[in-house]
Amino acid sequence: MRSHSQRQELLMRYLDGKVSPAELREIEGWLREDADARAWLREIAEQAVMMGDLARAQTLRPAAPAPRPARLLWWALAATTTIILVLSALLLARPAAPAIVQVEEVAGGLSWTGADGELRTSLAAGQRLPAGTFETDSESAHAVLRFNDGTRLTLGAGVQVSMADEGQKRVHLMAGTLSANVRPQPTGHPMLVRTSTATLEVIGTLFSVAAGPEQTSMNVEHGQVRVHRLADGATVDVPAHHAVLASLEVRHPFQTQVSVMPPTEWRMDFSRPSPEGSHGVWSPATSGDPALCTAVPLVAGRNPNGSLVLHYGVAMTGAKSLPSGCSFVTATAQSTVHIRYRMAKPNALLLFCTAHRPGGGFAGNFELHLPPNAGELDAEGWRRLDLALATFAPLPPVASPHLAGFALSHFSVKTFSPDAVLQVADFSIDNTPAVPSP
Amino acid sequence: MRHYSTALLMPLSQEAIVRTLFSARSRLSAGAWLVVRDAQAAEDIFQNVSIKALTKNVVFEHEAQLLSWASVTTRHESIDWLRRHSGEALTLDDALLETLEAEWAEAPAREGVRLEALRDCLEKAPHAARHMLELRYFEGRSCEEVSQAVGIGLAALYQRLSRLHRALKICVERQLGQLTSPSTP
Repeated sequence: MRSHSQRQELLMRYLDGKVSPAELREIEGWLREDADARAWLREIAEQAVMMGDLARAQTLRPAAPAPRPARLLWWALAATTTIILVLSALLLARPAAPAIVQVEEVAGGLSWTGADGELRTSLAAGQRLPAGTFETDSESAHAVLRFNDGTRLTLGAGVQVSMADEGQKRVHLMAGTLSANVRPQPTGHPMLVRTSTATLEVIGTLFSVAAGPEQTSMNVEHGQVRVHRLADGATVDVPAHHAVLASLEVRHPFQTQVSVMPPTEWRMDFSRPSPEGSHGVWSPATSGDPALCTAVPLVAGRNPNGSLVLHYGVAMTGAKSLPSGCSFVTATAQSTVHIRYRMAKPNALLLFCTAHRPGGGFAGNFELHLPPNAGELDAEGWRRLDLALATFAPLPPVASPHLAGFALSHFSVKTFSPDAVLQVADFSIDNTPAVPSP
Repeated sequence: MRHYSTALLMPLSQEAIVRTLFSARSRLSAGAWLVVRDAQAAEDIFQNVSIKALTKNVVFEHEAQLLSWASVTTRHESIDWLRRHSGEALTLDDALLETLEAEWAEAPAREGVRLEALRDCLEKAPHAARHMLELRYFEGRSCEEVSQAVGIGLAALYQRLSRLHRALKICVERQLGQLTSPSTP
């Protein structure tokens, strides 16, 4: 047990960048338990920042009459405000940083933010970009980015990822799922992929990784990936056709498992709240209605002027857990989707899903358009749809012409108007034959 | 289950965004400094986040939403900066940084007046103490460079810096106490 002065020295060494991983864990443990220590850390950080302000203002003089307090603060804040507003208003041109990636494919909206805050939306295939942060804009978004050496990253929906390449590729996946086909990397310079809970070292492999704030799941299709769990520094090598989950819970064994496909049947009747990652307003059963889920706005894309395109629907997304990665059901040639729904005002329906290969790689987006009032009407005013998944059409860019054999990670039922007030009471996929819908 | 309101959005104006971010500048910049440990980089990150808030096509309905977004974005940009400039330098884990952000958000700093109080305290500090702080925080030198410049061992420097921070804290609190309490004869 360290004394108070030893802890103070350890903290100053951390702020000097001179601690080992074990010492860092000790500091983290101390900070988690001790609110006074956290307050003290804030005090030091704010003093350091304020001394930086004083250094820039250059008004600290020995024994000279101090400038009027209001002028110092006014000057510092006015200067900073002016800089921010001018940069944002004029979009100052700067010497171009070298391009490190090219957009090969894009659908559903992709934006890029540079290190200096420059924002570019609605990126198109062929555009080359320097280091920065990419974000996919909608649930149907899909993008393929190629590094200069041919390494490809495929981004799914809801991805926020930053990329850099200064002789070693560094990827920081902040949210969402990406798959990567990594060319052999220079010796000693593996591609590094960091999430909130893990760091991956990639030499030359085909893998997918899904990142959330508290856990990261990874599947390897070919090759091998070394994964470090950040919570405790544990390391494991993940071979082909295996997966691993890195979370903040260090009591769980950190070991690989064989990658498996999810089951071919799945049902959500909303008798319990939908899992994490789902979208919609859940309501429990009442005397007049079953448990149901009401549509919410879903980002479907982005207009050329940058404004959002919104649909209104209920969506299901697989949880990021082993052993089936982020997918919740496997499609077969006989798969049928069954939906019990109703609307306050008739509106066309759009069914949309995202598929992944057995190793987690992106396999395409698929959709099916239905006219208003599709499906048989029952005595309680609900309509029922029974639709073969084989009738869903692939969206460009087409990765696969059909869904059979792939796992679904996302399925949504949507309308185009908030006035429709779409509600879904039952949502399932199985292998019973489909009934043709009117 | 995430819920999106379909009510009419009332976005914050640009002026409101700038005002809100500046009201939290001290803790946002301090949060960045905790990761990057470079005052100029922390200021750059704060400015980048501010520019993003003004130019990004996301609507902020209220200040709390903006500040929550700014905290997370500052943390991510700080980690990105650290990775780009310091390779595999160690930093506090995300969960702890998030805890610190949440705590600091509940107890906002007194912007402006604390800066003036700190300036006054530094001007009154003994020459050797002020020189040490200037080397470390004005010139951004490492502790090893500072220890060599002032002629003391590294361990001793760490201890002195810690005590100087505590002395500054006490001095600033006394200054602010004098500002807020009735004047004494």
